[in-house]
Amino acid sequence: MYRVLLALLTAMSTVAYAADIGISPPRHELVATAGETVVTTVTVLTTATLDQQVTGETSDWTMDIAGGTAFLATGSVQHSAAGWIELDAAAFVLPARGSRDVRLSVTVPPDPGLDGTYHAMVFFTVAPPPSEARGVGVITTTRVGLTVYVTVAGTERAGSELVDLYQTDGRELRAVILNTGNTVMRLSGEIQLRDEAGAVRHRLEVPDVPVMRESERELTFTLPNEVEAGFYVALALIQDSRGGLLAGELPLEVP
Amino acid sequence: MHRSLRSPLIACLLLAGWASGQGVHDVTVRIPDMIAIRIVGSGDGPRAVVFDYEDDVTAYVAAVLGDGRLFPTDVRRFSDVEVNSTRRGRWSVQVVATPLAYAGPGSGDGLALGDVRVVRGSRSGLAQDAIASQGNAGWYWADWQLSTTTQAIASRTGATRGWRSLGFNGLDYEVAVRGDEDPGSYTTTVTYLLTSP
Repeated sequence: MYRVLLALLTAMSTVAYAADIGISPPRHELVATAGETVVTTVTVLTTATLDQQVTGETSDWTMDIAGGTAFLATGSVQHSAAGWIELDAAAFVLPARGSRDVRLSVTVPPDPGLDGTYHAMVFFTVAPPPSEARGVGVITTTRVGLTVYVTVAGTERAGSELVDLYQTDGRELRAVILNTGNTVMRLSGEIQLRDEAGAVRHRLEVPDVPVMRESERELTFTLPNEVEAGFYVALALIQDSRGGLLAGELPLEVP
Repeated sequence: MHRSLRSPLIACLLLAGWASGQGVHDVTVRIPDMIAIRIVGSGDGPRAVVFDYEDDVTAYVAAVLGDGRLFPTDVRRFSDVEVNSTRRGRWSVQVVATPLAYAGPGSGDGLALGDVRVVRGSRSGLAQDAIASQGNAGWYWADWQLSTTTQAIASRTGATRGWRSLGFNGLDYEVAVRGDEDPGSYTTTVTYLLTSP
């Protein structure tokens, strides 16, 4: 017992304090049937020249219409998968300039009422050191989040709409996409700015972002400076990752 | 060598080279999909910002009578915050802080977490290069107050092409004081979080 304690204390004393952490991949999109367990891994890595103590924990998260995320306690949101995830290590030492594979066991409850995509975040945080500051002290550290989507196989329902495409002021466009399906969708594509003759003068890339199940996402496109004043037609060609193209057009005058 | 024999001989040599496996091969490079964040600073110990005015009442009073700002007296191993993303999707950096922990003779009144602020590049002179430009590709905040609520401070669509600066370090922290703070020590842990949902 004494030797074990001594070894533990020795190990802890050799862990240095840096704040350098990464993961690969940053996102898992899993598919499983109700009652099934899927096992996957994420590699936690660092470029720090010192060993670091890292903790892993699951969290819930939500996304607002603008794409902003909020993190909440596990099990506090609808369609949470946070309680389904088990890590093989909740705390570990990340070796200097090294990596460690962390295994995730994701068990979908055997509930026939489950459908579509559920989601969670797994945080890996560099443990900050104890405070030694006098006065006002700010200790800083870093954390990365692994996004996990779990779709219940055989229950998927796709569907999406381009709800709105409008000009907010002279040089800004907004597109509102509605995901009517029960799975997460990702966006791609472009918005073409065509002149009065129909020629494509500019292309604005649609970012690779998610639209959560049964929710809306608003994208803002700022026209680049090289877009000259004049009349255009904005043609939105937005791809739904599950298949399908959302199209819409808007005549606009750029001042 | 007779001209009529030259072409068949070259063909035989090429064929022999191919048969021995010395002629052609493929090179495949696969780059991992990853995101990473680090606070730059060498050596062991905390990445910390310290405002220790306990023995410098003159500077404290001058700040209260002036613009109410105190600047760090010490910055430890915190010379930059950098991100690295190889993915083309959108990533975001958020910040969250723990409530101020107070140690002292009073009750810890007078100083709030929101009194600690970061003004990007204000004193460090750093300029961010992680976000290409404000607009469709990304955005970033010029300043923020610490909060226990997670708040986004930078976001971008696309890879960073290596480690890129977010444009601030410990020197860019400041504390707003009014002269009504309880004496003692106030400590918080600030976490910079990188996600790419």
